[in-house]
Amino acid sequence: MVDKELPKLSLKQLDALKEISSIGAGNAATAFSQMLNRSVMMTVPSIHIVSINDVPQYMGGPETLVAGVYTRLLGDVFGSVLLTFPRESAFALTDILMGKKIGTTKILTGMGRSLLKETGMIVTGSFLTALSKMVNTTIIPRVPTLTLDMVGAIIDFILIDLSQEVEFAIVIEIRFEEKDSHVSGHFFLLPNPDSLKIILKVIGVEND
Amino acid sequence: MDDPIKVGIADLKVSTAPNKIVTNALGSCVAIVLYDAVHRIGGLAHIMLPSTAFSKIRSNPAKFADTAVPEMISMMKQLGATKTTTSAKIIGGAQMFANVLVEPLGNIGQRNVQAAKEALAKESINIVAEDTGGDCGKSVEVNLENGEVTVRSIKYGINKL
Repeated sequence: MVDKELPKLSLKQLDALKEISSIGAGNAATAFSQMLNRSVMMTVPSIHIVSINDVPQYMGGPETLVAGVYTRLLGDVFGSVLLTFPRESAFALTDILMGKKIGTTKILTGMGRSLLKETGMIVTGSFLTALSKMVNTTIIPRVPTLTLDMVGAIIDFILIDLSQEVEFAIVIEIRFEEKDSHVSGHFFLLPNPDSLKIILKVIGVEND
Repeated sequence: MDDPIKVGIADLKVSTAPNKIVTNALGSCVAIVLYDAVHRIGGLAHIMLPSTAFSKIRSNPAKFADTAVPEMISMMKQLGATKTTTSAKIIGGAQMFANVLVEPLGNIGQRNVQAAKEALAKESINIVAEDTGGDCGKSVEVNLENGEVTVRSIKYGINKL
């Protein structure tokens, strides 16, 4: 059956990873706030190392409906970034960006979809810019794509991809919330395990 | 009534009437449902990959189409099912994001569906219904009372197979 032995990161490694993710999150929060012209807070990242089967549980449960903006990462660091918004938040976000009264949008139009993708690109891009500077590596985000569905279904191809090599996933989770709570959501970074090793090596907390 | 039996990702379960088996939020993964209508015994596998050739870790038969089918058949046999009275239904195998391909797998949903069909053909089990492909997530419930499969999605609501 599934190997339950999950790899362990030392406290030092976890701290270092949290630290660099926090700086990325700070950068992303600034960009997000500027975009919305409203203050957006991002929490301290939490890092989960979990069996692949359990990943949907860490994203709110497999059947949770979300608008998900997915960005694939290439370059020295491979992986996935997924930005998820509860449906109401996705609608509020498009209202804010289109200068409409919050509560106007009831269905995602082509315009709304591209605004969400744009948001994903800016938030992900600013996170990655900070990250790649710190770890001195090239990270190339692909063009983001968007879908509205159950989170478990949205991410299963990411898990399929990982499952070719490993039985676990590293999930770096950051919650964000706009000050009036109209827009909230999650930012998930799932680095490919080899890429995580590269990052840990560059920041000097490699395993012996 | 008992709670339905839950099947996770890369997992499989078999049981008997009047139980129900469910699995949630299939995207590119595929649910293979087997049902023996005479003995009222069934099973559900939630597979991730077409075959063991695609992964370095092969210990879990429920993860692959080619190993999940024989495993499920032998588990159902232990409960008293026979192959000749068993038929199959397959669900899932979507491509959730346009233009996102998992290298080197390509359209993994489609390949999982294909592999499920091949694995069933190899065991000479007929596929009596399918709800595969597309671009939306699906949840599945199998009623072992009659073999009825209920597929739920946000796009199409409820589809009975």
